[in-house]
Parts: sequence; C-alpha cells; structure tokens
Amino acid sequence: MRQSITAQFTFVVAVVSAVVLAGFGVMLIAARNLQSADRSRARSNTVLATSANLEESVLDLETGLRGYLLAGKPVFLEPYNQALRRYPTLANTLENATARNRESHSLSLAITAAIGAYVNGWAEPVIRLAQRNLEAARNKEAGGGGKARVDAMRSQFAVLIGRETNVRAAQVQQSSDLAALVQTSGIIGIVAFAVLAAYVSVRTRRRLVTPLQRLAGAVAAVGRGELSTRVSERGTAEVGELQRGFNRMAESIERNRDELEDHRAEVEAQRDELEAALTSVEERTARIEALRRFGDRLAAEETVEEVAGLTLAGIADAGGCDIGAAYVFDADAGVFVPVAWRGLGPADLPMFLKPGEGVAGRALTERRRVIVSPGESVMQTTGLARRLSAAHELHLPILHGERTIGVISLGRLEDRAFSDAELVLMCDLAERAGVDWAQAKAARRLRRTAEELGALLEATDEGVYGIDTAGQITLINRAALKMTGFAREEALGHNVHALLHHTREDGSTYPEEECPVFLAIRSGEGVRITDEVFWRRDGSSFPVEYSAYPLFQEDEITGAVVTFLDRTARRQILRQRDTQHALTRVFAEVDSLAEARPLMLAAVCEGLGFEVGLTWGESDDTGVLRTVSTYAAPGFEDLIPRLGGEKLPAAGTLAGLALSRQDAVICNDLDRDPAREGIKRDPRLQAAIGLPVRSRGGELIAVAEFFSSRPLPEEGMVDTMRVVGSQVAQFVERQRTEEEAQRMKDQIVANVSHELRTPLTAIDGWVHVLLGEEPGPLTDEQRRFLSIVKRNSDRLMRLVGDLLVAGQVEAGKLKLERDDVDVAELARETAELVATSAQSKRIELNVHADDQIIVHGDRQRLGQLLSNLVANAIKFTPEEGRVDVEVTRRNGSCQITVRDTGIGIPKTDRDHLFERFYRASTATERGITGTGLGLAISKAIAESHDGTIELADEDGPGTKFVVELPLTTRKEVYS
Amino acid sequence: MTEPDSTPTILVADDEEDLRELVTYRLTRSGYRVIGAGDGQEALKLAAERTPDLMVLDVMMPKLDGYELTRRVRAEAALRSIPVILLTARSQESDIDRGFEVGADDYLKKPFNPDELVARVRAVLGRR
Repeated sequence: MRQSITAQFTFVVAVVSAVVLAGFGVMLIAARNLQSADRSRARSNTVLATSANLEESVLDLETGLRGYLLAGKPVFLEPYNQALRRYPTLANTLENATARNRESHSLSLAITAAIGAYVNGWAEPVIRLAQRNLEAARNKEAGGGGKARVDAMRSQFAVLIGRETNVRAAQVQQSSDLAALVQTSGIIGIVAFAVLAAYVSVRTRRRLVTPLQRLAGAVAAVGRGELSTRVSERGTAEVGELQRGFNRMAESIERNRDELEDHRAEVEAQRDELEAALTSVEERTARIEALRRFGDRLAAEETVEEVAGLTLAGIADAGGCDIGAAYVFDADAGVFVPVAWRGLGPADLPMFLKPGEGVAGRALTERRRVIVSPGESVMQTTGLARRLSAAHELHLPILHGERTIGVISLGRLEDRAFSDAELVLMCDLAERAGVDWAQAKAARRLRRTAEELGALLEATDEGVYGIDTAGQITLINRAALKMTGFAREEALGHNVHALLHHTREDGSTYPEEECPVFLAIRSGEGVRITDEVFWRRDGSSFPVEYSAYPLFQEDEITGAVVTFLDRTARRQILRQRDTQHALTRVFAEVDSLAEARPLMLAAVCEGLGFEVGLTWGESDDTGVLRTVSTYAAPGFEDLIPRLGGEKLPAAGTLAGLALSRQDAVICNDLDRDPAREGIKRDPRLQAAIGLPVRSRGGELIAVAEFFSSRPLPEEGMVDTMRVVGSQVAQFVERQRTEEEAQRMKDQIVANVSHELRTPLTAIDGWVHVLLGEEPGPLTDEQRRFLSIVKRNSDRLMRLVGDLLVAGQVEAGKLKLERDDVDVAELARETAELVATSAQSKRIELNVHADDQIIVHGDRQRLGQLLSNLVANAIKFTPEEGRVDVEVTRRNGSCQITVRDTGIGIPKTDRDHLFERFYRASTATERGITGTGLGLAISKAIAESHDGTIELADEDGPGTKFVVELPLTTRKEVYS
Repeated sequence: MTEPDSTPTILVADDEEDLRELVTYRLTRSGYRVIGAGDGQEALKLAAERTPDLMVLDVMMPKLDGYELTRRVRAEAALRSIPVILLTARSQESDIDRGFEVGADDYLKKPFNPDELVARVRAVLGRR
C-alpha cells in the first residue's frame, strides 16, 4: 500500500524538526547558565572590594585612636570619625553581597560584629577616659588590648578574602565551558535544517508539481474545445484521484455536447409556432383589458341610469353601432322602460317593453342575444327605432343570476354584419354589465331605504343613539340631541356614559361597568330600563326610559343602539295621578275638614316624594302665618320645629313668596329663606316648593311648603302642584260649603225649634198654672195669664202660617184666595195684634193710613206680610224706640212703609235678606231669635200679588221696608 | 216669706218675658225669692250683685247665651258654687252634653211642666 504524499512529508519534517529543536534547546540552557555564572562573579568582586574597604576602615579606626592618645589633641581623631561614618554603609553592602553564600555571609556577620564590639567595647571607652585622663588612657592603650582586637579582625578579613578569591576563580572556569557548549549546539541545529530543506524540495518536484502541470495542460485543451483530451492516471494518492476525476468530467462534457446539438434543432423548429401563439394572447389581453376598464367605469357609477348609459356606450363602441337604447326593469310597473339611448331620441323609443313582445322582448324572454340581419328580417324591429331603420340589429339581455334586469338594443345603419369577434366582445361586455346593473339597482333600493330610515330616525320623537364597543357615540338623532341639549359634534365620538349617564338620580357616581348599556354590549342581550336618569348639557337631569340592543356584525358585537324617551312628563303624570287618587281617597274617608287637613298633606307629600310638608294659614297678626298642619317622613320629624313653630313671618319666606306670586314657587336654594337660617345647613333638605291654595273666589285656604331631600325638577312640577292645589281647593271649598250647609241646617232646625217651643212653653206653662188654681170666676191676674196664652198662641199660629207659606213657596204652589182687601184697615188690625209686644218694650207704634185702600188679594196672606214686617220692626228695635207704619196710594199703587229706629241691617246682609232662613248678622250677634222665614215669605206674598218689597236706603239708624201692591180697579176685579 | 235670710234666692234669666214671668210666678208661689234678667249680661251682673242660691237660665238669650253665662259663672270664684239649671229649646244630645260641659247642674227641655221645674230646683238646692 502506497503512503500518501501528505503522510510522507509529515514524517520527514517531524524527525528533522526534533533534531533542530534539541540543538537549540541545549544552546538556550547553556546560555542561561552562562548568564548566571557572570552574575555570581560580579557579586564576588563586590565582596572582595567591600572587604578591602572595610579592612582599611578598621585600620583608620585604630590609627585615629592611637594618634589622639599620642598627641592628646582631638584633631587626630578625624580619621577615626570618618571611618566610623563609612562603617554602616560598608557593613550593609558586605552583608547583602554575601547573602547567597551561607559561609561567606556568616563570616561577614562575624566581621561586622567584631568591628561593632571594638568600637563600643574598646575605642569609645578609651576616648571618654582620655578626655578625663589622657594618661590613664595611654596606659590602657599601651596594655595592647586594642591591637589584639584589630589583629583578630584582620585575620578574619584574610579568611573571607581568600575564600571569595577561590569562588571567583571557579566561576570563571564554568563560564568558559558553557560558551563552548553553546557554540556546538548552534552548529548542529543549522546543519540539520539545511538537510531537511534539500529533501523537501526534491520530493515535491517529483511527486506533485509535474503531474499538476500536465493536468493543467489537459484542462486548457478541454477549454479550447478538445473534448477528447485525457491525462495519464499514473499519479499516486491525491494526484491520481485528481487525474481520474478530470478524465470522467471530460467524458461527460463530451457526451452532453452531442445531446445539446440534437435539442437545438428541435427548438428551432418550435420557435415559429410560439411566435404565432403570442400574437393571439396579446389580442386576448387587450380584450380583457377593455373589459376590465369597462367594469371599472361601470363600478364607479351609482345610479341605474348612469350604469345603463355607460353600458350602452361601451357596447355600442365595441360593436360600432350607430343607434341603441337601454331598457331596465321597473318593478313597480312590471315592464322594461328606456333609461338611456344613443343616436336617437326618447320619442323614437317605445314607452316600455314587455318580455316576449318584439325582438327585444324575445331577447328578454329567451335570456340570450338576438341578431336581426336584413336578409333574415323576421319581424319589424320593435324595441329599437321606429323612424330609423337599422341594417343590423343586436339585442342583448342584461342578466344577473336568475334575474333579467334589462336589455340593450343596438343597431348598425351600415350593411355590415357583426363579426364573431365583435359579437364575443359585446356579449362579454353585456355579461359583465349585469353585475353592475344589479348593484346599481340594489344600491338604489338601499339608498331609498337608508333615506327613509334616516328620515324616520330624524322624525321620531324618541331619542336614538348608536355606540361602539368602547361606548363612543357613532350616531345620534335630532330628538336625542334636543332632549340632552348637546350639539351633534359635541356628542359624536364621545363616550356616551361620561356624557349622559355618569351619575345616578340620587347623585352618586354611576360606574360605567354597571351601566346596563355596556352590560348589553358584553352579554349580547337587549335591556330595557325604566327608572334611571340622563344628564343634560346644562347639568340638569331628566328621568328616562331606554332600551339598549347590541349590534352584531357576523356574530361579533360591534356596539349597541339605544333608544330613549324623556319620562319627565309621564313620571310627573303618574305621580300626579297617584297623588290625586290618594287625595280622592282622603276626601271620601273624612267627615270634616279638620280631619282631612293632615291626611291631605300626607297624601301630597307621600305621593310626590316630599319628606317634609307644612301648611300655613293666615293668623290674626297681619304678615304672620300660623301652622295648620305638618307632615314629616320617618327620620325627618326633628325638622318640623326648625322649619317653623306655631308662627312664621310671611316676608321673605317661601310661603310668603308663594302667597305674593299667587302661584307655586320652586326654590332650589334654601339659603334664601331668611326666617329659617338653620335649614340651609341641613344636608337633608335640598329644595322646596311653596304652594298657595285659594278658593275660586280668591280666598286663601292655606299656603303649603313642601321640602325635598333632592333637587326638584322645574319642568312639570309647578303644573303638578297647581293641579294638586286646585284639587285641594275644590275639596276644601266643597267641604266648607257642605259643612256650612250642615251648620246652617242645624241652626235652622234649632231656630225653628226654638220659635216653636217658646210660645208652646208659655202656653203650656201658663195653662198648667191656671189649671192649678182654685176653681171660680176668673181673677184679673188669671185673665192676664190667659192673654199671655192668647198672645203666644197667636205667635205660634203666625209661625205655623209662615212655615206653611214657606212650604208652598218652596213647592211653587203659593195659593191666594183673592178678595177685595182694605189694606189700611188691615194695617190697623195688625198694629192692634202686636200692640202688647210693643208696649212691653215701650215702643211707640204709629199707623198712618188713608181711609180705605182696596187691593185685590188674599187677606190672610197680606195680613201675614204686614204682621211680619211690623213684628220684625218691634223685635229689632230696642226699648223705647219707635215704629211707623204708613199705607198710602201712590202712582196707582198701594204703598206700605214700615220704618223703625232699630239696629238696622248692614249693607253686607242686604243681598241675602230675602232668602229663606237667612238671618242678618246684627240679629245673630245680638242673640235675637227667629226663623229667618219672615222676609222671605213677605217677598213671596208681595210678588204673588204682582207687587214688590224693598229695603229702602236709610241714612240714619233703623230700617225701612217699602211694599208696593197694585191697586184694584173695578174692571180688573175677578174672583 | 218668713225669714228673709232663710229664703233661697233664685235668679231667672230669659229674654222671653212671658216665660220669665211664668217661671218667676211659679217659683215665687213655691216660696222662693226670684230675681229676673232679660239677657245674659244682665243676669251676670245681677248674679255678681246678689249671689243667688240658684240660677235658672235660658240657653238662647241675647248678648250672652246660657252656655257662656254658665261658663263665666263657673270661672268666677265667688259664683262658682251656685247651681245652674238650663232651660233649652234645643233637644239634641250634643246640646245637653254641652250644657254639662260648661258646668250646668241640671236642665229642662222646653216645653216643660212648671211643677217639674220646681221639683228640680228643690232637688238641686237639697243636694247642697
């Protein structure tokens, strides 16, 4: 097996490199040792030099000391002192230089220590002794102690120097050996490298370069087209592979070239065919492009007329047609009507087309094109021009799915038949137009629907708005804007909850997440709410009823539409109705006004939602109101005393304001009530209404104040209060009338009863007395008793008569038994009858009457009339007064005048004076009894005699009644 | 008419003279001293002056009616204990109740038997 070129090279290079590296390694180590030996030698030199210097210093020390002792002068100590100064440096240097050699180092340390001992233990004590006693010092020196020490030191020096000199000699020898080793190693390395380089060069050329050069030549030959070129495959290893690969490639290329040549001939043959096909594609593309443009233009049009016109123009242009018309189906009429035309006018066209009629009609029925050519003219061209005659006609139905939307009729005046290409294009265009016609028709319907819906939306009184899922308003109608007070641009795009629904009716914040509208959006279920409020732009609120429905677009909720109604009026009406019902119940249940008052107040407060109510009436003090009744809802009772005790000044208060305006007054700012300072600081009271209640006659029944814990809506509230006020006023008035009637009835009964019982009592009592008397002839006293009985019996008779007449008058059946009556005579008789009563009051009663005045009338009734007037006069005249009765003829009638000096009749009573049971205030105030029937009967009697009775105006005190009765002439007399 | 001091004095008030006279006559005959008054005011004045032992008062009287008169008599310390008999032409329960409310001791409805009046006067006086 042959080794590869790469492996052979790798082996040879590795061996030679090892040899080279070994040589250089030895050289490097030797060089390093040489360097180290040099440094050692330098240190030995230092030791030697320093030792010499130190030894010299020791000698200086000894010499200086000896000189000083000999001469005794300090100047001779100078060498000693200099040596002493040098000593520390030198000793240090020596110790450092010998640090690497233990033996030399200990020698050095011994020497320096000996020098220290000499100086301190010998030299210095001797010097100090010499300063005191030179002679003693000289003697001590002479003892030779110092010299012995110096000598010892010098022998130490000698040992050190000898040793260091040997060391240096050994090192010099080592250095020269190492230098030789370096040289030898270097030479061996260089020689080995040279041998390696020569080997590589020779091998490379023989095994690699030559075969590659040959291969390059072959490649160049193939490149020149010599595809049959091959190379020898003798090369070893990788080169051999390369050669074999080249040969396979060359073979493959040669084979491909032959196949290519065959193909080229084939392609050449097909090219002509392709060119022909391309031309037809271009034509088709152009047609498609035309169709597309046509479609785009159609799509841009909106109305059916525009689309039809464009279709007609497009198809006519495509088919070179001079005349044409487009008809579209009119669903309302059930026929096809012309909507566009070219080359002719509407007058040339039929009013409408029906399927099946004419050629165009056939196109509609058959839902396919119909061509009419001169030669094959089947029928007259109904559906196109009546005036112009086209040589060739084409009728194209416009279809969309199953529907037939319209028809296009086209005509060509020139006698040239439609080509197939033209027909295809025209049919394509008609087909394409169908979609747009359908869309335009659908759009028209949609537009109409949208317009109708929009109009409906704007016309409705219901508020409508639409929102997206975020709650932003996307549409809002006029009614909604009107109700809320916002402008359209203020609403659109804004969050509806923040705009209209942010706060609840009670004033608390309404969180959006609790809003039913958003609930509807989230749940997809519609909601209907009847008891919430919306807020207007001006900050006021109104009750609403609303429905929210989620909007879907393909199963996805896209928002909601909300419709709402302002329930102010409705709520007000309901409350008003409930309150009115409650009031009606109260009216039905109570027996008296006193009982009704607190119940009415409670009904109004509870019905209309007021927490506190007070009613005030006029008091005796002008400008001050007094409490009539009060109402307080549970928890508000403590407010009653603070809102007014028994009395309240009218001025400045709400009640006073309502009184002066004579209308309901709403006050949403209680601070303005000066009389009730404390009220405005109570958070339970927000607003109030003052309501005056007056009768139809304008008489004040009461003024009410209603307090509310909520702000009161202005709208409707005043109206409601007016209605309630008038209902209460009517009831009070009716109740008062009834109670007054009842009271009057009781009074009448009491009066009549009294009038009956009084004479009865007198009669009965006196008769009783008389019966108790002893029998026998009447005494004068008894006779007087009997006259009393008679008088009372007369009075009773008169009363019974009055009651009878009153009954007849009431029934309209006053019967007169007429006869000639002498009224003068009657007056005198009447005076006699009442004379005793006049006498008992010492009243002067005068009668002035002509001799005879005949009236045709009822004697009894006329007597009743006279006695009533005279008895009244006596009754109402104080003692010692005067009553005058006068009967005269005047202006053809009989005039009776009864005048007294009594208490008179106030003007206020005059209108009612002649009414039954009416009693003058002067009479009732004084306790003068009576039935109130006398004057009413007198009037009835006078009038039944065609006469009159009047109360004359008298300036002075007293009363004067004048009765006029027609006089009887003989002719008029009848029975 | 024995000892003036032992004879009870009765004040009779009625605006109807015939009735006043009747009551006066009958009571006088039964041995009472009677003083008469034509209206309520006069009666009150006389009562204050004479301090009668009993008063017979008509209800319907001018100026001061029987009820009001009784009320005032009852309000006056000096007159408070004088018994009052009311004469009333009214007969409804409410009128009778009202009479007792203001402090009357008894009442008689008109028309009445004069003997009955005497009997009642005697009874009321005997009660004291």
